Amino acid sequence: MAQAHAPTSTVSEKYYVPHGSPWPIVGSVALFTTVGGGALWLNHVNAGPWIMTLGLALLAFMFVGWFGTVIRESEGRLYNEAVDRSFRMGMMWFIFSEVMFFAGFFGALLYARQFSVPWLGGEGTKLLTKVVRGDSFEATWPTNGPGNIGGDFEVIPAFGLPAINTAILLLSGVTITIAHHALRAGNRRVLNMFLAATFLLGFLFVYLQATEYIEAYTHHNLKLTSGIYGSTFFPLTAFHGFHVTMGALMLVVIWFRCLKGHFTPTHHFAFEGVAWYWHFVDVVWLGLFIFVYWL
Amino acid sequence: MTRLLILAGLLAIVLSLGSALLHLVRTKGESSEKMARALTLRVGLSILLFVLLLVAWWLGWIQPHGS
Repeated sequence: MAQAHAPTSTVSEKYYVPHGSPWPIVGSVALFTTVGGGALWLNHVNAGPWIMTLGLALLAFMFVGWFGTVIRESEGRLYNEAVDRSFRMGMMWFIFSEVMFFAGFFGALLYARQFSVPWLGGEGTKLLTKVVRGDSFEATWPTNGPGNIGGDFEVIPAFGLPAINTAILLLSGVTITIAHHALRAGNRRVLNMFLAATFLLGFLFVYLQATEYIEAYTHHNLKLTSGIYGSTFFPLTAFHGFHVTMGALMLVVIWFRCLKGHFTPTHHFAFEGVAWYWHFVDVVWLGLFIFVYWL
Repeated sequence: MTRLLILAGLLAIVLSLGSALLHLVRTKGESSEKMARALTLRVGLSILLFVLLLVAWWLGWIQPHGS
């Protein structure tokens, strides 16, 4: 949530280093508590959910505190051009890790669909596999494999909630773009209005995604345990939904900053970083919509 | 053919998004304006691809899973 300003006489000449910041250790303790609580929960320890909740609360506390600290440092003109370059490099490496993260999941889907499922069906040189197995499994997609793991299921039709959600995210892409141009033009009223519309559309997307999961579990018998389809469908869409949630929360922070009059038409890196991230989750969804529901 | 067109559209979207990221990382000159333009192109292409999907389905060129 940083915002580096242009070098002026009031901007610090030294590279700002926040000595004595408590937030890294608070964050570490919060993550340890969250994951530890989750592990205890999975092992049926009664206190597990409470410890995990405590960890998440501590994490939320850290976010609020750390964001606030960085915003005050930025508004206090402590960041010079060198710090600005560091923020931009940090953004680039963060995005690189995000691309690799999603590449892993898309790669798993590609491998299952193009290689492992056809092989189980006896395609190409794997004909012997099918003969030895002696089953009647035909390689199709969607599938839960030769063992019919999780029982018969139906997929979520593309023309239900997924298409509506795609339209919602595309619309949010339009609203963030209008807000972006409004900020550059100095039109604060349009900026605030369209930024608010963007995160509201984001939260609506997450709500509808949750509705889709309930529908999948209750009416389609489509679960995380539904073989290869379920174990690629849910992680891909759920991690994307998590990213939309985080992106929408970041947009809320930026919106409050806009309301307080932060950012100028020429210097608004924090806005640009969050806006780009929003476009990124939008594009990931488009890829999901095409590969998971259509092709 | 339709699939190739869809994949080409998706590639163009990813490239425009990548171009915006490069402009975001740069600090010199008109990079901020170029980033905004690249993102606008990204949004336009995405809407076009969504419409293409719907038209391709309507014309019977492509069918989603489970239909």
